[in-house]
Amino acid sequence: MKTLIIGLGNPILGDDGVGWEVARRLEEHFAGQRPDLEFDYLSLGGLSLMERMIGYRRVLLIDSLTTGTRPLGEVTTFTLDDLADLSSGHTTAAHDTSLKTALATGRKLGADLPEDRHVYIVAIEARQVHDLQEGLTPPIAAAVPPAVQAALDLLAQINNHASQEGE
Amino acid sequence: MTQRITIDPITRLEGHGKIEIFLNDEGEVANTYFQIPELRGFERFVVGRPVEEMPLLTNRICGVCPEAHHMAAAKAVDAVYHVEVPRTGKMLRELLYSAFYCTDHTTHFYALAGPDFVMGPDAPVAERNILGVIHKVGLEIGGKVIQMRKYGHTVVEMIGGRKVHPCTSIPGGLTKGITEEQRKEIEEMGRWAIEFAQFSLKLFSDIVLGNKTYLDLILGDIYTHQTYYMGLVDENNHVNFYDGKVRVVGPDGKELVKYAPHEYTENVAEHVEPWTYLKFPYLKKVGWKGFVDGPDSGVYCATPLSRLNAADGMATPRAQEEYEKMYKTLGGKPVHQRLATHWARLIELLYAAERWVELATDPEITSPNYHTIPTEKPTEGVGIVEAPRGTLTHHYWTDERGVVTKANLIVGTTNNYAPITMSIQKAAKSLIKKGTVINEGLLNMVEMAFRAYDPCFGCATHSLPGQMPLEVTIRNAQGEIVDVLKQFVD
Repeated sequence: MKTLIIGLGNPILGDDGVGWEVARRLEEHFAGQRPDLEFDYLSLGGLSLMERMIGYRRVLLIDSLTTGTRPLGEVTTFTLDDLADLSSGHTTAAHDTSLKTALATGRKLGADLPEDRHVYIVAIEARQVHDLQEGLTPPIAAAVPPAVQAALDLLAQINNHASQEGE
Repeated sequence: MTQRITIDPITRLEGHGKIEIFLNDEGEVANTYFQIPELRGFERFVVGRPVEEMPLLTNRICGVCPEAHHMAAAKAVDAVYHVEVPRTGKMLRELLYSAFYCTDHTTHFYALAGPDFVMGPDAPVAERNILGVIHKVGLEIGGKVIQMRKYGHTVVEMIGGRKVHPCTSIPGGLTKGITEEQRKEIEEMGRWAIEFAQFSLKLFSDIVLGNKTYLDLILGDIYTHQTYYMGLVDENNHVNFYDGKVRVVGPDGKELVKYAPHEYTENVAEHVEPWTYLKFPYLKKVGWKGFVDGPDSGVYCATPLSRLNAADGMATPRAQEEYEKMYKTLGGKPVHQRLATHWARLIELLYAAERWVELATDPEITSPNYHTIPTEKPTEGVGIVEAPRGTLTHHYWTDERGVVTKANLIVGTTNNYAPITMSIQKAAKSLIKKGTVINEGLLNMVEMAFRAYDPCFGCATHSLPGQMPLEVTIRNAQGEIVDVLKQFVD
């Protein structure tokens, strides 16, 4: 069973492109030697992101995070399970629904989707995500190697889980 | 003591905005502010790039409607090169665009607007989402929504070369056409889309129009504004999403002006307010008179309902029937009740599906004549399409090598910034009265005021799969937080 690795973000929106960059480095690191891993680069959320995950048991998302409370460039890892679903209280801007709701919807409709606890996330705290520009600011660029390492650690964990669960 | 209520999504999933409601000593609404963070530096970013890159670059500035930016940019680039796209090229673009519209309008109705009506504005937050809709009206409906999205994405990929972010439009047309085999497949999907659109209109009729409370809500004064309306029309003054002239009608429904894309600067100007970065476009010929209704105020609206108001009808037969039915039910043209935008959106969904089949069955759609090689020197050009959220204008200037020297964009939602601000204020004033406890249902009713416009500030694309929590902060006159309410669902 393949694991899908998605770099999320917008490559022309400054530090929002960090997810793509980390995924790209990760893909380079494996240099095609891991046929069980598939890479993609997306600027999507909600339903569209869910649709991309159909057919995978495990997904790793790499994305920027803008809590505004964490130190710039801090790398966090968690699963979708750990994330509170606040989507239903959609508000000013949501054109879509949350990934969590989208996944639940997809599953309810019979789509073959990963469980929330199998959607792993590597997030990098960023700020400059509203300025159109290419390239990362220095603190975020410096966060790329630790983020790659965090992704590698997660992938090792994922492998362990998978073998424990007999996949 | 002045109370301040802030409705603030604290993450930035599909972009974010913030509503602040100020109460006076009596607990009545004194004022409301709706702030939208804007993407910065677009002009600086594109200067120095080859103009033909614009259809690829600009579709990255929005995570919700990349296809709309791709099309507006493509048309602007055609204009920069003074090149006429052959009929097949235009049809292919419009076909892609019709399929995109079906996907986009479907998502809005079922994932965003639908929950308010199907579940009701007072329903608990946990149920007021697409899952709740499926739970209430059946699994079958969810399957159809996903199917509609899949078909839309498939057509975009077939013609646009890629899902969601098309890449085939170049100056003078497209880089590729479609085969007869693809055409057949597209036609079949389009026929299914027509049925789906009709099904959606039936659902709206049963659930919303059949419910007196909802009908009263739609027709009530809370969500009504008398403004100008804008929309792209064809030579018969019928709604068109891809091409034509921009027509503006007044609050009385009479035509104020009809202009070609390159004449937009003579017709639209932008007003600046100190409390927000985003500008408020208004009709130059009428003038800016503040956030007020009426024929003397240059505030205009560009939404599905506006497009229907600004046109004389729909170009396809089934959509025309529904168009007539809507105006008959709501008491004639123009319709000023903003919540009717949801109905108008479904009529547009049907039109887009019918147009999809019309184009897919045109004998010339598989012709290899989909591109004209540009021969003239590039200069300056404007491209306008109707994005689902409003008239979308791209304007580029280049040097003689075709390198961008300047760019200006007026995006869909921006058109509606003034009317959205007005709707929020009116809804807040109507719903928050002295002694009223601010509860979730009530805040949702305020949100419904702007949800009708399908506002999209998602030019920041996606972001982390977090969500859009609501944080309501109530402050006293000294700015101290008195209370914080959060809409969390664990």
